[in-house]
Amino acid sequence: MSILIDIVRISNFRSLKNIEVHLTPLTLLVGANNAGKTTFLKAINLALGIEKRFVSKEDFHISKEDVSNEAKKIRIDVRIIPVNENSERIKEFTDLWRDVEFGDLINIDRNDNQYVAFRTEVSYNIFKNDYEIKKYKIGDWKENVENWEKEEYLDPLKSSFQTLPLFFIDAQRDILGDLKDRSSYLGKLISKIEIDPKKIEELEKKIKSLNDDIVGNSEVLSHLRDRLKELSNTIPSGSTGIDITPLNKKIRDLNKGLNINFQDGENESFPLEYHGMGTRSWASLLAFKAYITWLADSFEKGKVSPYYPILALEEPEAHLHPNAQRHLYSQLIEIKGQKIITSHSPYIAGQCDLEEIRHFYKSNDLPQVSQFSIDGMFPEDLRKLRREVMHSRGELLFAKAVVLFEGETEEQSLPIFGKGYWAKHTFELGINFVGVGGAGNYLPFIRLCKTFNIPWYILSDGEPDPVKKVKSALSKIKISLDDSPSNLFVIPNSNDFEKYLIELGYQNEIKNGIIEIENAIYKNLVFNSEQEKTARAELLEKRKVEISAFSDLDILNYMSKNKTSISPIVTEIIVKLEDKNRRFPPILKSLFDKISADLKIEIDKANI
Amino acid sequence: MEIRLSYKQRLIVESKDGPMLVLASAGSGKTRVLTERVRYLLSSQPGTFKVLALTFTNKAADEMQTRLKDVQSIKDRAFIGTIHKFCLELIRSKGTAIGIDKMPHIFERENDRREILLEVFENNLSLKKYVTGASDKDRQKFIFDVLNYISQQKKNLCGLVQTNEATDEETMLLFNEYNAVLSSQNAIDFDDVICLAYKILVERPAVADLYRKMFRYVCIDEAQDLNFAQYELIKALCGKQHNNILMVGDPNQAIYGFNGSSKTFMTENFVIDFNAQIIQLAENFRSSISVLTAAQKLIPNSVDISDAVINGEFSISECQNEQSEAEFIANKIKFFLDSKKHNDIEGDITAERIAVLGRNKYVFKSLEKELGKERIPFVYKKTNDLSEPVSDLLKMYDLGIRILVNSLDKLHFIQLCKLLELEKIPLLDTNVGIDKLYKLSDFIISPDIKNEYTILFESWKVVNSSINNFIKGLELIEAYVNTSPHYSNDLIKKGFVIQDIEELKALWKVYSLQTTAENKTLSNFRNQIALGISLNNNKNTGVTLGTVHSVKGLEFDIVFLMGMNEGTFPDYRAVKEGGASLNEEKNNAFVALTRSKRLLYVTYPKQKFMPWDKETPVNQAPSRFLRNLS
Repeated sequence: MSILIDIVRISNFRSLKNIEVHLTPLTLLVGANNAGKTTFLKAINLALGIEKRFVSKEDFHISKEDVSNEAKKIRIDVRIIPVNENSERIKEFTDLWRDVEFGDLINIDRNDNQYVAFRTEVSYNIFKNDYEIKKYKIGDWKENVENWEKEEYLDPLKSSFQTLPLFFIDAQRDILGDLKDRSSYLGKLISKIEIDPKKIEELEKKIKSLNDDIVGNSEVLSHLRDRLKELSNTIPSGSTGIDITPLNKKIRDLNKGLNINFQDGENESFPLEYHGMGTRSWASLLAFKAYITWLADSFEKGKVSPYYPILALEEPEAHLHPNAQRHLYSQLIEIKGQKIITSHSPYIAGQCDLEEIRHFYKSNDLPQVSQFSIDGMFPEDLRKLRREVMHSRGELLFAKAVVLFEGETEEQSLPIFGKGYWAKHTFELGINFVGVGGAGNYLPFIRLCKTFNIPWYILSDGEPDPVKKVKSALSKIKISLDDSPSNLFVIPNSNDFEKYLIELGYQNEIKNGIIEIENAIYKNLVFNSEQEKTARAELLEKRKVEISAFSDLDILNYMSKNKTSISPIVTEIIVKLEDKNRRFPPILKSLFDKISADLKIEIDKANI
Repeated sequence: MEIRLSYKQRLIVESKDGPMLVLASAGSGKTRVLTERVRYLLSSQPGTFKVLALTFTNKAADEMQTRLKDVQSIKDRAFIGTIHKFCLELIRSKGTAIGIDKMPHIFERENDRREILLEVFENNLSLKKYVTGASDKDRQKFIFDVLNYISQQKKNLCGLVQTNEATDEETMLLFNEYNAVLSSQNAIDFDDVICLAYKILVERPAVADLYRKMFRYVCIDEAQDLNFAQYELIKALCGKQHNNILMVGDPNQAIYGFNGSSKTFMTENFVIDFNAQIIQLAENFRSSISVLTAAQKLIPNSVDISDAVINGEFSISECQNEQSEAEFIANKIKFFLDSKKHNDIEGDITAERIAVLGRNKYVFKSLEKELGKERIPFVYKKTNDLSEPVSDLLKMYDLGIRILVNSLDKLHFIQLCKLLELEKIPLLDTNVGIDKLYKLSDFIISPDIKNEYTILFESWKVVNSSINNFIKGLELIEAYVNTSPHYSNDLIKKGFVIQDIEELKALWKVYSLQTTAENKTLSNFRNQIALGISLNNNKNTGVTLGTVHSVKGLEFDIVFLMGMNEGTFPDYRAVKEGGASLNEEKNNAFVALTRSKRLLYVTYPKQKFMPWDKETPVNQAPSRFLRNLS
């Protein structure tokens, strides 16, 4: 049983005007650059960090209406609750937490649940002409209040909790720097090399004999030693001691110049400076993990103090190969204590539970945060979401816009239409096209997009059944078809995408596409004889005539059998048509126009 | 530090878990047993639990804290303090559990309570008739009685526990209105401290549960003086689950009956409610045979003489009148201080080792003059540690501090306005203390007062900016007084101000030492003053003069007990009442006698002059308590 920092509220800190973030044992903060993720980490570092922190004028939020920040206050409220092994809230803190750390700071809410809450406040002290960081006990944590930051608390609190230290690890970490820096986690850990004094004597003797051996076997070193012995001839000190020690001699100095070598596969092992930044950054993180485990173990052995470290980590994926990124999540989750992590890695996000992800975004230029709520979701929906979205499409969380549709044809064609339309790959623009695999599957995707504030669009088939299903999905998130939502695009006249193309008169383009496929098949054939080749060529020509005569039904039949191969080819043909007006079917044009307007994408009119 | 304990003391100190009542007679090492018990629990018992040690006086708590200073992290692992202090902490920390959002402030002065009550009568038509028309004296008496009644009600936890007593509507109205006026100013009176804490514990069992788990051991000193509310509070705190309660007390020293205390909470309720084991601790190594014999004669079986080895002295002297009684005592003290030695006293005799006790403070009148004549230094022991400034300047300063910490405080705001000689109470459009004080300045007419107020305001301002500027703030006032011609022309007035400032500084110093830097707030400081901060580093040292109640728990090598006349000791009112009151007088006498470790001298005058007739002396009878002593 342990504890959890479950809510953090921040006001007036840098870009964060006012924000409330709920935390889980591992929380992943995602969102665009400059959306406030790192600022959030810095804010909790101010509240819980172990190192002495300084605040400057720039740390105060500035908005247009402010004149000075001298009267302003940065306020960071933190709530801590007791939880069980499954991280579910329980009523009471353990004896150790109660007795050793929290004592009568423990509050009891209306439902007799215990919690501890405190405020970190930074304000300007006119007398000191400096900023002051003060902490106050929060005796009554108000949930769901509008102006939490306006509440005043007067009970001062001791400066920091010793047993729940926060460690801030930024993206620039490098184990080489850590090795040289005594205040780094690695530096702190290796300064604790503790060896039995008797053993030290023995080891130092061994080192001495090794040193003698090396010098004895090296002509250069022996020569050097002998020449240096002349020192005692000129300096009348009486001592004859000249020692050349290729190996460090004192055990107590072991942590100085300690080297870490790393062997990659079959290669010879190299010191870390010969490795790339990815390895070094990752090694730095592992060193931190070692430090925390060491501390936690010694606390656990003692049983006189609780321990709950908090890790604020920036971009664990920095410099790492995608394959390595896939292993990150399981390694991170093993670290003791609570983890708050910023990331741009779809691989990490894909492995997180949805409830662990917080999305930072800007609205009216102010950072906001949203989180996924599983309230009201059926377990089946949730499973689907995990399976469909998280595990296969982690990158969805990083999209700027998501277009949802039913089938494979769209999945193949839309990116190509998109590229033709914007003259850029759609992934460059951050637009994701997602086939949900049937009209009944929209809801979890919509929910996800809504939570993470990603603009979403539906391109739905027009037949009665899919439309009914879309309607039902939308009604669950309280959108009615009658309001004709501007992000819903239904293919007209009860058509699906293929029929729609036919209706628009793209028969010839499709036929050309089919012929291209047949051509390609022919080209790839290996013939046993010239005869066979001629026969095949004749067959192809016959086939071309046949195809040219395809009825609409024939076309549709062909398309439904060869969805994945035909769609890209046909699309490529359509977007390159001489007649600009025919390059984009009207419904796609309006869809793309809407996306352009929403995302403020410039369009080159020459293509359209 | 190695503490020597007797076999029996050690038995208590190292006893296993379970409720226990130690009946400890005077001189049996009560405080030592308690402190050593706390030390033993914290250093020998495994775990991270805390100990709650409740005392009756700040002095006793200070003493215990000093003795336990060397126990590792004692401040984190033990709460040692008075019951009131504990309750105040409980209200501060858990008040929100019953909807107390802002920490209330204590109106500790009797005068303030009176003003609140007068306001109630003034503003309530159905109650007003009780105070109009009556003579001044009658009205005073009436108000006094009502205040006593309210206090008594609170000590009975009125409204919080079921009582059979039927109360009429108007009395109930009075009681509620009085509380409403207090609460409108975010204030409470002294008795409320226990009531509110009790309310938290019974209305929110989860809070009681938290405290029960936090404090695995509860130790209570002077348990014979528990009153109903205090005992119920302890019961609510400990509940049915908590068993490790140690009560220590001496039924023969129960002297607060007039205050609602009764030894039966300890000797009967505690034993029945908690099934407590009773241990007698009567051995006495400290006191002389003479003192113990006298105590034994006054109350049989109250002490155990068998361990005593030092003879000591005991005598009863009859003097002609109060003057000769004073001379007799002064001479004897002078003799001791000159000779410095006595066979039964180790080391040099100093004034601090001598005390003169009396039933009330009026018996010392002649003695004070005599001691002055002989140039023997003496200090008057106050019954409580409440402090109140004497000078107008510091009175205003104190009132301002109250408004700083509690801007709703109307009572003291009005008092401040009166001291500032304002014609009427201004209505200010702010709820911030310092702004209120700032705006008030505009209403002051007298230029002299305005001058002083400017200095006070400067001081409030720096204190308001940071509690750590408290001394700095006082120094601003000090500097002003030292340079102002107004004060150099009136040295008596200046003397009062300087004395007040010195006292405030001393209070701050003690508070500072007792409170961790992070916990210091102006509001907390003010409330601690209200509960009383004992200034043990009193630089005025000398012979102690004190009433029986003021020296409770203290010991001296040489004790004089003067004015032992019928009507004085026992008090004439107790004689009239008889029964329990008279019995408590006997306990008072017992406490007085047992304050002496070695030499004990009882005196009484044969004749007294009455205040209204300085010519003819009136004959006096010796106290009935002396009959069996000689």
